[in-house]
Amino acid sequence: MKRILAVAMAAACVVGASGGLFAQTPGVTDTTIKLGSFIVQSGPVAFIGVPVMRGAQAWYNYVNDELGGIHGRKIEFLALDDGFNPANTVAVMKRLVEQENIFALVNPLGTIGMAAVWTYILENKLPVVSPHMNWLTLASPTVPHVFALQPNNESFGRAAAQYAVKELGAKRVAIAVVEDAMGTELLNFALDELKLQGMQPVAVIKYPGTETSFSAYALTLRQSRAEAVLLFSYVSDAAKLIVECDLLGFKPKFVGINTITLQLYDLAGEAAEGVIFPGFGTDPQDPTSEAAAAMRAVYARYYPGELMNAYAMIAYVGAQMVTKALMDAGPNLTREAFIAALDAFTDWDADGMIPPVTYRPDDHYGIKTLWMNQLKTVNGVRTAEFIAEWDWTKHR
Amino acid sequence: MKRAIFWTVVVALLALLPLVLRSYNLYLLNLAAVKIIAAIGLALLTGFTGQLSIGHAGFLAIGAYGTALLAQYAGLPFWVGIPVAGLLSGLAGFILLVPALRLTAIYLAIATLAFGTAVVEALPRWASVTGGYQGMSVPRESFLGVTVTRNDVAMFYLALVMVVVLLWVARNIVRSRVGRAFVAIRDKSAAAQACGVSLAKYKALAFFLSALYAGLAGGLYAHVVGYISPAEFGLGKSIDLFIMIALGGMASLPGPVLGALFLTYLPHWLSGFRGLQSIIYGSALIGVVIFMPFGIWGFVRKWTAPDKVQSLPWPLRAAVEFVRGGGGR
Repeated sequence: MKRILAVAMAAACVVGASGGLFAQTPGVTDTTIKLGSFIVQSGPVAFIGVPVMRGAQAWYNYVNDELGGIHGRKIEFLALDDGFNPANTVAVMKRLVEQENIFALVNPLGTIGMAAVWTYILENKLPVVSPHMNWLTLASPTVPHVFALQPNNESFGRAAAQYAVKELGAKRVAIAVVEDAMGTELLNFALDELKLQGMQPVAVIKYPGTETSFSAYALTLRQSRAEAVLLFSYVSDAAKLIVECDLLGFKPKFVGINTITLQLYDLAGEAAEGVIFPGFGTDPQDPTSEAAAAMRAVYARYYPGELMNAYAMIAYVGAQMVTKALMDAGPNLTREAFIAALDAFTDWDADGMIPPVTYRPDDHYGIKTLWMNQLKTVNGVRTAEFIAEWDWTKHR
Repeated sequence: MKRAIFWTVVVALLALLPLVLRSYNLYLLNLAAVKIIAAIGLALLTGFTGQLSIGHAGFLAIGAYGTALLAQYAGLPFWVGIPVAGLLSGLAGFILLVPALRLTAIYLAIATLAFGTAVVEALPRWASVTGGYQGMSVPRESFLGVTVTRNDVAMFYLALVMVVVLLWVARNIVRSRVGRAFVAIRDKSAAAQACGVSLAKYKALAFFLSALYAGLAGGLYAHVVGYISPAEFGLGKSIDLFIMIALGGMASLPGPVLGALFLTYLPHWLSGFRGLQSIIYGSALIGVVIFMPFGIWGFVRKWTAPDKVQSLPWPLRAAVEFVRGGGGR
């Protein structure tokens, strides 16, 4: 009898796993919710992936340990390393969906991996929340089950060009751009925006992502006599270029993108003074923000001694967004309820950590308003000072 | 005869795998097949002919982009596109012949490195066709009413056929007059020339074959993953290929197969160890190099040498002797 029972149970498990008999929500049991992600943890991009993973993990741990999970269900956050290699991202996604049977994809990192699994996500109608990438395709056109959070390259590219022309009054604008997927997209939007303003850039310098010497580029920029230079670069490249310009005595106004952080001061020193860059979140080390202090406390509990940076912050906020939607979806958790809960988000700002986010069924854009900051030394302390809100759609 | 039956049974068993494996595991096998084909190609060039190449990912890129672009713009089906792209890549192999006839060892490696880098840099410049740095989606294709691209089961059978055929071809080349010429060039090119082996001819053949294999692997890759971008074919991929044959055992055919399987699965097994995987991965590689100087296959051969086999218990001994049959090389 026991054996028959065991065989029957095994059979039931097999049938259940293949999703045949029970129309159960994937990844959800009475006690757990399984969330999956691909976040690079090794190789050259790990410096972004590690804080992103930790930021998200810290919040999910906190929800499990202190808030008792979501409606009695603990969160299992399964973040796998894809090595920032699209072929691996495809493998990771198949494993998450077909073996681990995840409820949703949350906090995934990297445009190139996402591009490789995009069709797969659409086919499986897998909910995607808080993807960490500037990829325009995520939100345009709207996909019912995909919710972008970070501003995309269109926002950054257009805002930088607009800000240089309209706010700084630059008549001569130059662009320095890294040659990769991100840089190319930013450049196209900035060029288009300048064209709308009736302008042409006085110089466009493109450099490969592996470039180490920027003196020749700085010379070209100086010869172009640009008043403003748009920096579509990663922070280390931007630092090298700014330092080289400074050495030549060339001091235009630099307008960067979200890759620029306070770290630029450490890398470029004095030369970084006055650099303008858009942000979409409060610096987690900001001493004046209570929300940031609460966040730091949670982070320090799980990763003692680790400094929380902007990457960890946005992952943490993204995780908060996920748990809020899970909470709002109610005890009978289904993907439909989860998506409906997200579609009802109105002016949600994670206690002021990010500009307000509103989702509607036809609008999954996420953060639209950028916070323009400027690097400034105030009373001997190097800070990023907030100077203006900028929504590119309102400056046409 | 016995061995022919044995290998037929092995292939037949492999062909049954889609019945038990889910698509994630099949996908990993497909990726492994891509690497196996490319690694065999590189082994023919580097292991057998002694010509160092660390730009081989360039040929993979030509094969992958060739297949995808032929499908997109010329509407060629995959069973035409992959071989044509493979041939294109093989012809591109002659580009490397120019430096290969003048340079040896590390200097040739530098020249091949330049080739690999040039291909990866050239692809995104032609953004209107190749999709630039963003990469491109490979158009979906059907064969006999079944969607093939990104269909793990269909790709598994294609990959299986390609691996079996290409392995068989490589085995026959290696055992022929051509293979012996390759080895002669590797061991002492002056002596080979003195024996009447035309360096130019056989080096050209080695480069062509090697690039052809890499191109075919690239074509398969494009349809397995369904998405390609220039960044995937960078220096890292070339080095990976080199590690595969060094790890598996260069001057053999089972070597690259083992190396490719090892390098495909290891990172996936390790992807759960957050932050530790690079350390484990690195230690595993160092361990293999220290304890198996002739690669995994060299190690296997050492422990299955006739005198070692004699002391094995009966069932193991019989198995080893059967598989070894008339000499594995």
